[in-house]
Amino acid sequence: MSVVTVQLGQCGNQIGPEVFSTVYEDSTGANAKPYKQCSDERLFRENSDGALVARAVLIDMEPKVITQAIAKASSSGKWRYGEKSHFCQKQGSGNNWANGYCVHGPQHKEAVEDLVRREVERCDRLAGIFAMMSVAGGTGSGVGTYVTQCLRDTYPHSFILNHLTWPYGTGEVIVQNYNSVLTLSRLYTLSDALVVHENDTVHKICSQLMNIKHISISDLNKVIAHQLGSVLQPAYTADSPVHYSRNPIGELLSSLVCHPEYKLLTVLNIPHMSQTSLAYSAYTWPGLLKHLRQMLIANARMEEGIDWKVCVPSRRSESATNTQMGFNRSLSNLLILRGKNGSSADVEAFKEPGLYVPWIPADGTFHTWHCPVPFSGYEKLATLISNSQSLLNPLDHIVKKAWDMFASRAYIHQYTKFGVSEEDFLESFTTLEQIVSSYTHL
Amino acid sequence: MQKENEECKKNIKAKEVITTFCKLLSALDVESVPTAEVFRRAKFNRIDVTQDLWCLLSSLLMKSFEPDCACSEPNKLSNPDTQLRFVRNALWHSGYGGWWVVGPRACESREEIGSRDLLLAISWLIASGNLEALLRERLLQLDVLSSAAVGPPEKLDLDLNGCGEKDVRRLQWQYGKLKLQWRSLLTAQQEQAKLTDKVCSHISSPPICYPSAALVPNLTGYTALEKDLERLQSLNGILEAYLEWKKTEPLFWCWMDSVIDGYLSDGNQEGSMDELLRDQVVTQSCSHGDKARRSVRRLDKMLLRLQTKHQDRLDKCTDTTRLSHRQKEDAERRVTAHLQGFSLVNTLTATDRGFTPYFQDPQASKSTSKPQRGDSGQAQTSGMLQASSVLKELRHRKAILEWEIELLRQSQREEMQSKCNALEGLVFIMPLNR
Repeated sequence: MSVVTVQLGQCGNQIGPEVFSTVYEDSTGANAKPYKQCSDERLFRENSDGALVARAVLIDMEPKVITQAIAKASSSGKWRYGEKSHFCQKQGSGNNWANGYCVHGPQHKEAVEDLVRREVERCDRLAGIFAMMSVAGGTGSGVGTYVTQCLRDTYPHSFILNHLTWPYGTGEVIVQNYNSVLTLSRLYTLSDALVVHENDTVHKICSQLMNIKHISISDLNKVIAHQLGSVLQPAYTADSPVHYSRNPIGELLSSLVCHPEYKLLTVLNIPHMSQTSLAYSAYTWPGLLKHLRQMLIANARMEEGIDWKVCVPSRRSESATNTQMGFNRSLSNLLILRGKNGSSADVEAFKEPGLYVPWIPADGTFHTWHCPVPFSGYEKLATLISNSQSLLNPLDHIVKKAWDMFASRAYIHQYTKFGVSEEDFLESFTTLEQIVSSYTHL
Repeated sequence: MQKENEECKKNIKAKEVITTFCKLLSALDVESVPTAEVFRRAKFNRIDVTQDLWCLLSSLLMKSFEPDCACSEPNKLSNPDTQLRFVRNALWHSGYGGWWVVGPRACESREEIGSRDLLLAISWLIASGNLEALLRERLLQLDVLSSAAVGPPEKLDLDLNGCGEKDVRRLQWQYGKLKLQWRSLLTAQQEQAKLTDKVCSHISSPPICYPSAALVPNLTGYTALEKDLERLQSLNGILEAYLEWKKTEPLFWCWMDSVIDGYLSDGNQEGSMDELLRDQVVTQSCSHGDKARRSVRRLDKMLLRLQTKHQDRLDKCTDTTRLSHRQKEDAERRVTAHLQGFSLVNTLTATDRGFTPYFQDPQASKSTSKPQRGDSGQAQTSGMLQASSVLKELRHRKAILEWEIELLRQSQREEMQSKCNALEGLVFIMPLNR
């Protein structure tokens, strides 16, 4: 039971090593043998020297970030990347999705597929493919989309989970919304689910919860890695209540994204704090879960600044007004409780039917995983993966901005010259409008 | 001479094929499996093998219906009448339409049913996938390695009549879930295969062979393990037998074709054409494993049956000779009344003569030289009309009437307009054309 990670572009190759480090540190420090074994088998393999090697493939069109990642991993002395499991070129994609998708992707298709295949063949059981990338740049989004497409063709029955980093709303790259629209629309049909982290949200967590003054990319990546780690680490699930689940991705998907129209997932974590204040904190499960539930329904991404006035509408007819009041309706939620007594915590409040759309069978909306081993020094940690309306606004924002630019045909020639036509754009817009509308009318 | 040789070869082959089939049945724990010779004799409808085939057929059916009917008691089946009833019901349930199972000639005593009939019924069961169902069941019983099944799918509370958008979404959700679960099971199976291979290669290196009896002594004391091993071995046995059968299956169906040919050429001509055709279609459909083709054949069969029934009915309708004189008169009176009703509504034209219906004798229509009712019959028929020509005439009249109405309407309209135009200070606006 193993997950093959595919790190794509600058963003993917920066978050990837953080995830492996987080997971490694967590399971090594946990002092629980089955937990460590399961975690190691899931994300690492042993090479002939007995060293832990990440089950990962690194892909970028420029060598800098990959070199850094490999060097950092091997200098840690704890785990490393496979010697021949990366692929890079000299020339980047210039933040152009079309360049990545139409030129670089097809050019290096065979090399990349070969790398992934080798990694997949090393698994006794391929639990899933976890592709990490940003949606804004050129390589991560363009090549990433192309690679995901190839993977889907090669592994039609495997679980493919994409982790997407959404850019700051204020803008890092002028064409980021174009790239996002093109990436999202295509991945929506290829991938089984899209786990989304928005830079804005993560930035806020860094500044308000972790009290970091000068926030660097590395700080953001650490927060993302922490959240992803708490999802990927071993846990007891409904299908596997006695042993750590051997099918983590499959179970995650079948509890959250059974309907093809709804594939956007967000991750909420509580508590979040700096390492220094960890030792001075004491939490109870009821307190944490009460906050987490309110974060969910009020669509707050962190435990600070939650709007406590938002409540679950008592009747369906009120839903229209409550949408304006900021009520966030869910399709399904998966709660992961890590730490002592997590299995006996009262989670009834998450099962309230009013939280969910009425057409999903009641036993399909909410699932819990738990693990007695505390995660990363947090005595208690609750993670909620949610398929809900919470990404509606940022998505709508991206589509609108991209449409405004497209209406004046700005920068379109940069894309058409690589083979992405205006019709392709229009198709992507249609797909995303459909997603927005689907989530709006929950 | 050469032909004889070929025949001989064919026979040997057929025997081997049937032996493979018998082996598979035994591996599947089917009771009272006969020898290949029994099958061969059944092809020629020998009486001495009938009992063997009865046993095989009933035990096959018992196997596949056991899970469904807990009430059935095997020892009760020793009674021939009960056995016959059970076999017939079970065959009917599996869609078999042989003459002794369905239809007017479904018989009540075993003596009428020959061994070939039973052989055909058995082949029907094989063709309709009963073997695979048995295999699947045994597999679930014996497979110790497969991970626990996810459990039965959740019950859907759906009112399919009033299916709204919500229900559709719910179904889509459930469908997606099933698909994901299927993929999970698929990966689990792949893992199992990989691990089994690893274990095998680990245990039996350097010489490549599967863990056989040689290894069992090492495991004494581990009774649970031993049992698992036994189960796996018998599972392997079943799968091997099935593979062997699959390889030879086409030959079996060739042989069955010859059985059917024999069946058709012997004594089954006396049955009505309807039955013959039906049986032929049934047996033909057996000889094709292809599911789609099978269903097409089934449709064909239904169509044929419908057609023959239809023909029957038509015959009955037109065959007026069977009607008594009084019945005929009765019917004629009724039709006359009906037609008069028509003409009363439509009596406008002077040409109206009124109609007198008269049953047309089939013979009379075919050969006019044979008047059935004597001399007066000929004279009468000339003045009478058939219902179809009456209808035609009426339709024609209806069209004329409609045309007349339209003309009248038009002229009245014009008249009204001219009158209105004569009135001063009044503007007449025509109504919309109807």
